[in-house]
Amino acid sequence: MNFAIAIHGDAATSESPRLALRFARAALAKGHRIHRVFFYHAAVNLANALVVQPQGEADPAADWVHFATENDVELAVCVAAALRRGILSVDDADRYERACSNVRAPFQIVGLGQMIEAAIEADRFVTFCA
Amino acid sequence: MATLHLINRPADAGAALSNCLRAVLDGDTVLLIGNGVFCAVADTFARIRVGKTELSWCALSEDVVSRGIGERIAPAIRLVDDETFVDLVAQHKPVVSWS
Amino acid sequence: MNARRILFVIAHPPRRGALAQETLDELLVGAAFEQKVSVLFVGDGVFQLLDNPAAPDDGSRGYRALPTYEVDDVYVEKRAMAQRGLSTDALALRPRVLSGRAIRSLIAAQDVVVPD
Repeated sequence: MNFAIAIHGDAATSESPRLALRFARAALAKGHRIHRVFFYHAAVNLANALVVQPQGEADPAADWVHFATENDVELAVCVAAALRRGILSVDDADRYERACSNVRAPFQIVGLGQMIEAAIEADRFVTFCA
Repeated sequence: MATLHLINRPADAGAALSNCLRAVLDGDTVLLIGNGVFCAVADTFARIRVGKTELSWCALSEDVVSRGIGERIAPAIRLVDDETFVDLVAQHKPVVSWS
Repeated sequence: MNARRILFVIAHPPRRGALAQETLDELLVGAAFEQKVSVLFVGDGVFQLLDNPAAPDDGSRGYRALPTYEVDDVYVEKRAMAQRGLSTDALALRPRVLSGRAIRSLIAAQDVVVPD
């Protein structure tokens, strides 16, 4: 089966990134595929490369980066939600004349259409609320 | 195909549980995740009113154990691991998250 | 591929900040992709439809414009309205009012349900 996963909460105020990662790991372990993981609302904050997580504390963003890299899973961050929260790609930093870009690889900035596309293409769509 | 309902908050933390329980049909499954597992604590669960609807209640065992409430869970709750969570999603449609 | 049935469930009252607009945006993109998009207001979510000319410029005002975006399947929970003393006259739209049974059937018929 092909799963689409949406995450709404950020790591600082919500368990949703961690719950979603456990689900994603279990899905691959069972032989399923992940069509896309879509980060919306506050969850876009996981893509912020400027965040410095204190040592010894859990780091869900780093865990997602590791998981996505190891398993070639697409981490899609909604552009409008990201801009509002100060997460800017190189193109957007240029376009909006900001001092720097700060999207952490392999997170990708995408349009909201990618969330609907995932809802259309995947067999199941699971949202992890904030 | 039956619906899978996900709840991630305790019973008294807003309307997630009550909204969910007005939306359930016979044969649906409710899976408690994250802080939602506090709904499964026996005395809390006993107060939950579902009417006559036949539901399967599950809770993520990792979240129950990490919160130290493993000995306090109502007997009607089936504890499931993350891989069973995946199975539940595969076996239900749609999956509805309440918060 | 057939159009998917995608239901947006609005369960929260109007919230300041980006959240209301962001949920509305998802809905409109779904409609633009020609999916079978519908919206259901439950619990305190019914307050998002209140006819309130003083509403700040956020997403809750946008729900009033749903018909102009050809999102016609707009539903509101009968019980939630009654418990809050609201009649459909108080709303900025004319949604279909659904009983509990109708809501349960509506949800069960969906491919995807998106929470606010």
